[in-house]
Amino acid sequence: MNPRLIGGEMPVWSDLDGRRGPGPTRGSALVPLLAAATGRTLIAGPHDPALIDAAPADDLTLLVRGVPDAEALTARYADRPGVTVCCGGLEKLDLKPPYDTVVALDGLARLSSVEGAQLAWGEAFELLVAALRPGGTLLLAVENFLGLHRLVALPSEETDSDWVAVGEHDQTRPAGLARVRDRLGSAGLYVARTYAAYPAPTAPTALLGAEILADEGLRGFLEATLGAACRPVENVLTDPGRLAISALRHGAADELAPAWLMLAQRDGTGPVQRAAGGDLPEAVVATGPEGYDIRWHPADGWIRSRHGLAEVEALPRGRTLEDLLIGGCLGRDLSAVRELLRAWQAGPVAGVPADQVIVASDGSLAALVPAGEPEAALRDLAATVIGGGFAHPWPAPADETDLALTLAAMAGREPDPAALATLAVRAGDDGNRPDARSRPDARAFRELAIARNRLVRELAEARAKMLWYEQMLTSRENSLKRSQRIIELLSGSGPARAGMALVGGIRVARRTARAVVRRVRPRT
Amino acid sequence: MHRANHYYGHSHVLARYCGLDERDPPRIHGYLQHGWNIGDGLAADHEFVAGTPVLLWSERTRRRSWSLGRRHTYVVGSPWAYLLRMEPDLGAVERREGTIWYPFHGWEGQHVVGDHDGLIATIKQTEPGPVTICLYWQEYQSRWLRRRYERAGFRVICHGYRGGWWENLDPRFLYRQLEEQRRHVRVASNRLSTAIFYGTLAGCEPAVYGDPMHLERENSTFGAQLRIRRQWAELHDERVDPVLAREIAVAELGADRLISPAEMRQLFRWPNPFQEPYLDDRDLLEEVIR
Repeated sequence: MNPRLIGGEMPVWSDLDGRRGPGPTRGSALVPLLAAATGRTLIAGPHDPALIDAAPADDLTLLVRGVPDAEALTARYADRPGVTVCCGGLEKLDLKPPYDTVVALDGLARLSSVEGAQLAWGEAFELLVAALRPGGTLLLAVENFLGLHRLVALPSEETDSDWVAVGEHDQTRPAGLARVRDRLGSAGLYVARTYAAYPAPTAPTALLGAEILADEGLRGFLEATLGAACRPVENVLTDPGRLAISALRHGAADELAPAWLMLAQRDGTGPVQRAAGGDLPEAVVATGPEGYDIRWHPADGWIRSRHGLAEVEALPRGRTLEDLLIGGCLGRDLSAVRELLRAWQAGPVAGVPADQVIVASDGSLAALVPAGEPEAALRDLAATVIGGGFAHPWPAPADETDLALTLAAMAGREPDPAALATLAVRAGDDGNRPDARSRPDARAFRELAIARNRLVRELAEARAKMLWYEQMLTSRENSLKRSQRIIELLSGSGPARAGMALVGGIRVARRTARAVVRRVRPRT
Repeated sequence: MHRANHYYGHSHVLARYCGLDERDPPRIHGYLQHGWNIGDGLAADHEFVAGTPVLLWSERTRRRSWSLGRRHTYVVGSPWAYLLRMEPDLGAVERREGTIWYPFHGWEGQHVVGDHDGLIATIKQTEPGPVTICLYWQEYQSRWLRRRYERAGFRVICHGYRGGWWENLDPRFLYRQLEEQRRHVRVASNRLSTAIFYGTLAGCEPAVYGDPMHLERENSTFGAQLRIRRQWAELHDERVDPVLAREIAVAELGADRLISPAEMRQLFRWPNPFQEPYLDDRDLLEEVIR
């Protein structure tokens, strides 16, 4: 089988290899969405083959623009006769017969070839909608140009794939979640589900539905999830995790999501379909090694099921331990802080980072991730407190290790200083090391400014203290030198003769010596 | 400050240069090089606190110090060069005579091992005029050693104590050395050393010859004696080019890089505002008796 060259194919171009652009849309969090595709399906744009594997292959059309990509996909699916690989521009694709499902989780920006028409967002969108049969399902990703990933980004280098990058200036492209919904609605699409996708459009690891985002009781879980999803992996203006948590607090996590993934159904005249996406999870999380789906259960509330496992567990409700601890610190409620630290460090979750521990209303603690070393968890909390620029209550901790020791003491624990020292060396200044958790101050300019300001202050204080020590030292030296000279002047050797002559003979000297002894001897 | 800053009355000389009371120099906020040095300017056995400025004699030493990892380095020149500037006439005589000869000396922690009789014979053979032997205080205290040089017909002297923590400080050390050197035509030693450079700058013709002897547990971290012979080969002879020698001495002692009193006060953080004024002996005693 050969790829079908439909016109506009690019002979030496690949979106899948990631060398000329951001690489294909990818990540295990997207697997459940692809798996929900049904019937005759079109996957348009660069999607990681691991995702394509999840889609039903009975009647599957893949559209890419680079010939090497098309050849690689053809080879991969050589033994699946239902798969057709098309190579070229979207405008050349034969849209008949219409599709039951159209997948465009890479968005619409990489569907045009250099050789053919440069489709505006609206034009590509209309072509894809036109490819759907009435009642068919569209899976569409829309990057949010006001998304958190862009708010924290430094100016980016242009890549080879930006030969036309109209971006925000594309008048046909709806900007903002409400306008995107409206645009889909006016195209005759019913939006069945919207996921806020974090931390980046091309490789999201957390997909969160609107209902779960609106559940205040899950605040802790959601903060833990987005905090973990948004750890910085490159230089940024400010820690994206902190900003994501703040967005959650303000009910803006969907508005500020880096992308929205929409599942929409085209109205039709055919037989009434099962509500599109009815069996899709409300959220998909793949921030750690194990991914899981979240669904609503009438009896148990929100439950999560690990991918590939049958068992389910209820999501813990409450706030994160880190949130409560920092709140306590800022409010100077140190007795509450001590209580939380004690509860945390005395139990089985001692080794779980504080931002991954949920405190229920009854005070019980639930871990979202497996436990590591308690020393590491304490040190991470200290790093967050210092690096986050919080007005914490502890006077001038020397560093994260020093504060971690204080926190351990407040928790009533005897930490292993050697273990802490090892962690300090491991964390170092190098956030790039794979075994170190990303530090919020490693690559974020706001956090760098915080660290810089703190160091300037600490240095000024250290200098002031040094001046004071200098004063104390000199006053002691003054006394010591004076006493030594007096002793030399009055003792029986060396310059003493001069001293005795000065004061007028031995008898006077004896009297003087007695006076000196009275004065030199410390007063009781 | 480090006690080494007081060695040989260095801080006393510099206090005078800065217009302060030379009897009681303030603490120098830095580590002052205290001898001619082929390493980073610091003595190998001295503890060093990171961040302390390293105050060096010469630009060459500064470059070497930097290359060895020292950073807060600054060239100020040697106290000797300041003393010569302040005392252009001290010890000057109508007619210089003879040689002041410095046998390689040990220090408080390491003694010198070598054949003094052989050295005496070499000196007698080489030096045309009267010879003054200057011993380090430790060797000077050895009556046996002193006698050996005296029996050879040499005058034997000692410039004084190096000085310790606050004990045996000898603020007049360099003054005595200058007075002696300005009486002699030649300065010589069996090793190229601080005293040879001092003498050269004080107007003596230098010479380095004879058995170099060796120190107990001599450390050759920086190449030691062999490297010195290679690098300053032109100074190792019974007679050397006095013009070239002076050029080298000026550079090694930083006599071409002296700084102003104001700059020095700023650099050393002088004066110390917390230090009490120094009282005369009489005033001190009267105050005690009162």
